[in-house]
Amino acid sequence: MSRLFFRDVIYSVSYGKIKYLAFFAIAACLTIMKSVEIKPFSANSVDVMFLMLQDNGTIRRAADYQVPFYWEFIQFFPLILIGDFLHQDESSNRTYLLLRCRSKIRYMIAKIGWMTWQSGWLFILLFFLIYVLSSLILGDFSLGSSSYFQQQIMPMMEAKASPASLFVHMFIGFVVTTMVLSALQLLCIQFISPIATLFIMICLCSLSTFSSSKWLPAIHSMILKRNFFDTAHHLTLGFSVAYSLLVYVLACVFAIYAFVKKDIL
Amino acid sequence: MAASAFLQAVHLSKVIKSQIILKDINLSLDKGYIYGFRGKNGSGKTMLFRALCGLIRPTEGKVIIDGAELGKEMSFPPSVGVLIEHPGFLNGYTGFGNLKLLAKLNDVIDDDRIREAIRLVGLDPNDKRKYRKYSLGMKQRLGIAQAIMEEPDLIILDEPTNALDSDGVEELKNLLLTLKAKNKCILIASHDKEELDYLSDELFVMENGKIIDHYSCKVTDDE
Repeated sequence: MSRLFFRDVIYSVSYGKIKYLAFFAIAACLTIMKSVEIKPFSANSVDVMFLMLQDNGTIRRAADYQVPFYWEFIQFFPLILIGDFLHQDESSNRTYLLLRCRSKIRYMIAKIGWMTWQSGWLFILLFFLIYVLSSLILGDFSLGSSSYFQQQIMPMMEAKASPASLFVHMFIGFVVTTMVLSALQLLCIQFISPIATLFIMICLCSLSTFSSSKWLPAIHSMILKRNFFDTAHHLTLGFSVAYSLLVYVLACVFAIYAFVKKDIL
Repeated sequence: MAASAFLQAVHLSKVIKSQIILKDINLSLDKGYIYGFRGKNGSGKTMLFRALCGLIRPTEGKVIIDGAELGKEMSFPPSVGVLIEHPGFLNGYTGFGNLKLLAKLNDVIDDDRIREAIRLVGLDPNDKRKYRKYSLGMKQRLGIAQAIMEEPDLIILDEPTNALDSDGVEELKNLLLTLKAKNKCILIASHDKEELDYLSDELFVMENGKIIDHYSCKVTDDE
């Protein structure tokens, strides 16, 4: 199984390297733009992360709705990268891999392992990229409370949180949300086409920009809907992690079951 | 039907969404022979190959390989090499690099054996060109190399001569005869009657998921 996992890692990097580069290049451009924009306000990298990764918050009136482009880009692109590899591997390599590993369960567990790894390293690299680039531009490598944080971000909070706490919530939120949505993608492609699967993912993510229901899978990467920005919905990090892991495990188990039962056409 | 046959299909049928894909297929195939399967597109050749590999589960009947029933005693054949569709080889890797990535999954062959398989299909194992630079014929040859590199007992090739030029077809014929001499059970599907007649020991003609004709292709010296 570990051989299959390492093969998936090597294959996905080689297969998708241009797309990964595009993702990180766009993220780097956005980081530079945001950093330059807030440079006069004594900000640091946590402030840039917050501005880049924030969503549109809780919508109280329909007229207030704004599309959270940055959040959608950062949440969608990794899903597209993951879905693209899963589809490519299913359509072109599945036969050859299955006949070599001789177990559908091992094949799927390796895919799930790859998805989890992918959800982790993509965001580790993304946060590291934002940290390095913004710190270089802003001339401040600290992760502490900046003037910008105290004057602009803290007043938005309903319950106080430190920059470190904000960072942890954003990072873990994006990782667990990507894990859940990837697992749902894996489940969906057992039954429907990759395009239809992607459409469902877009709908799922978009729903979270309208609604503040904590049961929506994509809401857990939305920092402005967390309990310290919006106490009404009680979206705590503990709940996000526990709920996301539960949905992730259920989606993975159903995906394995569906794959074992279906014909490889 | 010979009880000792290496591969047996017994009353094998497959229905998908009320459509009969395979109907009452009976086969008894041995090692050291080449079996040809001929039929139009959609006649069921590829589906039969998928069923023999354990990739699709029969609605009725069974597949027995080396005495063990597929789907009950084992999920997939223990030693099989296939070329059913183009493998998704990596464009940025060489032919050798691509095969090595696949071979690592089982880790039963070394680099020399991979190079030998590449050489056997008429490619240069030291060719530094990336897969994206390969012609269609070279890609097909590499696909065949991945099917034979682990020296499986059962070799299943669906339209192996696709995209091959006349030299390539000739080399493939020689390769298959060499593998046959090594006691492999080889199944090939093709549209080309002449090619199959020349290569096969036995030929099965398929239509609408059924075997409608079955004959021996080899003539004795006396005949």
